[in-house]
Amino acid sequence: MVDIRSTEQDGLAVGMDGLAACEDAGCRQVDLAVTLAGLQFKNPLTTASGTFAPGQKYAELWTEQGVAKSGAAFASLGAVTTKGVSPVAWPGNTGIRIDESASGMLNSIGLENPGVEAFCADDLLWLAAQGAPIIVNVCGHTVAEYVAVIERLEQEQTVSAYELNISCPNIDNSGMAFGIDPVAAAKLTKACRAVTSRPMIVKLTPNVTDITEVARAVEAAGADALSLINTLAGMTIDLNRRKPVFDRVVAGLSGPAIKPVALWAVYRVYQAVRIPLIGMGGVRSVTDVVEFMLAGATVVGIGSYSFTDPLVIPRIARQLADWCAENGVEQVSSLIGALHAA
Amino acid sequence: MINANAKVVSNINLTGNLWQIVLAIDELPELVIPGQYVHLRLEQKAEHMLRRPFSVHRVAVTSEELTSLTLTYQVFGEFTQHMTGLVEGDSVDLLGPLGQGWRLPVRAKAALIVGGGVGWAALAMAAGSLPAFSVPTYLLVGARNADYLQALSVGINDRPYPLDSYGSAAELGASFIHLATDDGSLGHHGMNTELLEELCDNVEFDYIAACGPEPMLVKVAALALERGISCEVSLERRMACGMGSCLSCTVQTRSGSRKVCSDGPVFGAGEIIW
Repeated sequence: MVDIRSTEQDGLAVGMDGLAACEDAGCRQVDLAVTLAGLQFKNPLTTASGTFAPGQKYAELWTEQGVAKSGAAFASLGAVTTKGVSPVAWPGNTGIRIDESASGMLNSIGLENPGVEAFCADDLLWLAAQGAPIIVNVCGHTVAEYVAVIERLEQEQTVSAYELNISCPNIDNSGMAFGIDPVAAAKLTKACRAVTSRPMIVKLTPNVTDITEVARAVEAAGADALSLINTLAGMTIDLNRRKPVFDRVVAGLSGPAIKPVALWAVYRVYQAVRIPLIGMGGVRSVTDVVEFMLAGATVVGIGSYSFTDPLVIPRIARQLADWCAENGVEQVSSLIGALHAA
Repeated sequence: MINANAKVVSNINLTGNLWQIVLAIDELPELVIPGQYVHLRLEQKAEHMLRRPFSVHRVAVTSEELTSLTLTYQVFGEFTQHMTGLVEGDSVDLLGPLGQGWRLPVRAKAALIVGGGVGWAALAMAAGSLPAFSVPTYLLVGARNADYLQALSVGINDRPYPLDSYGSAAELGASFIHLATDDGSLGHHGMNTELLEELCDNVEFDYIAACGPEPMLVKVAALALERGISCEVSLERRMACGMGSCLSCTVQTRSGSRKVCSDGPVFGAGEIIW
């Protein structure tokens, strides 16, 4: 065993020397394409909802730094997943909206967004020209509101898929209220299924006893794919004021701190359902992406780490092909759920 | 805007909890507009997932290749506490320059710059620019004590002025400095805003720029509105991305929700719903 490993490593060293020369010639072809619910992704990377879109400033920075081309700034992404879109403008939450915890952050944004009409007129129009398919994250207070957003977006040719947000801990009477109840989650999924034939992804919350229960329920109700996980419910305290930091007390924890929780959720849900998964939670490196794929994700979302490192997405996109080449992976899709086959 | 490593040139304690760090960075792709900020990350402190924004206090070109940025910061929490440990040669991850700066009037009868504490850092470059447009510039700066005012180097064109006399105009040409301290150790004993009315009675200002604690900004904005003076304020909010994406720093304005990180930090004072 030791001999084989060292041989591989020797081979790797030689390969790396030749890599730069090879890259342009295209002699180390790695197939990064994946398919999710009939959608073709040029690579398995997307943005996690609420952490990026519409991303004008990211486009500006990436172009200026030479890691993206003007006019196709998001070509390094398999898809862009937008911020949650509601039927009318939502103002978001009052008070402090973010706080830091060790290797993580809490947010209480409250799905502030300009509403679906303004979204179509501004963000969607701009995004459609950036070279990546668009997954629109949909939110509402009631089943009818989710349906209304989808019905409006059905008129837009540039929308590739929907992601139903039934998992945001930051709003009342919605979001997580659907996500923690398999019956309510299924009912919502079914109602949305009835108004669209586009791929429909449902985003799950980890704030439940058994995430596989909700996963199975929405699968049975017609979901084409699942995203997991949304943020973990938590709070922080302002010791000087002896008060909770956030007006709503509860906020959503994200960042590297939650990666193990997310991996375990993806691992278990992969075994529980047959539909593909978008895995996310604390991704900050190419090896994190590979781990999520091994656990069962077809696509991996990069979320709040873009706040920490605004160049993390193009870097991971660039490194993924190299990682695969260096590790003898010819097709990135072969990684999906590979942990379960072992 | 760029995202790159900056080298620490110096990092000193000015007084109390007030520190000043000088960073050197390979040529910035653009000029830093007075009022803009940089978003810093301490790579060696991975537990800090979030960056922190700091106003650019001064910019200088140190050599042909390097731009030096001076940031004045107050130790407030863990991040700024960790910042005090940076020494010459350390590197920090810098994103910037970010945000919309001051829209300084090229022609104005007289301009007033109102700074509170470390808020002065966001104003210093503006205060230095206005005299170049031949705009008579008045400074009204408050801090907790004389040491803080001295440390902030309140002055124009980066020259610290003698701070021993309240309102001394001798060396300032057309410009005037009014100072206030919480403890009365220099200038007016009390808030700088207590001098505001009288100053505006005596001088016909047509532009005010203010940065400091929000109660101070509210008072300045109210006075400017009442007297019909064009006024800008620089706001401070917690922000994650600095890129207009996370919506942590939303402020309500008369034209809807705006982002302090990318629509601001400088806003027309009349726009803000306080």
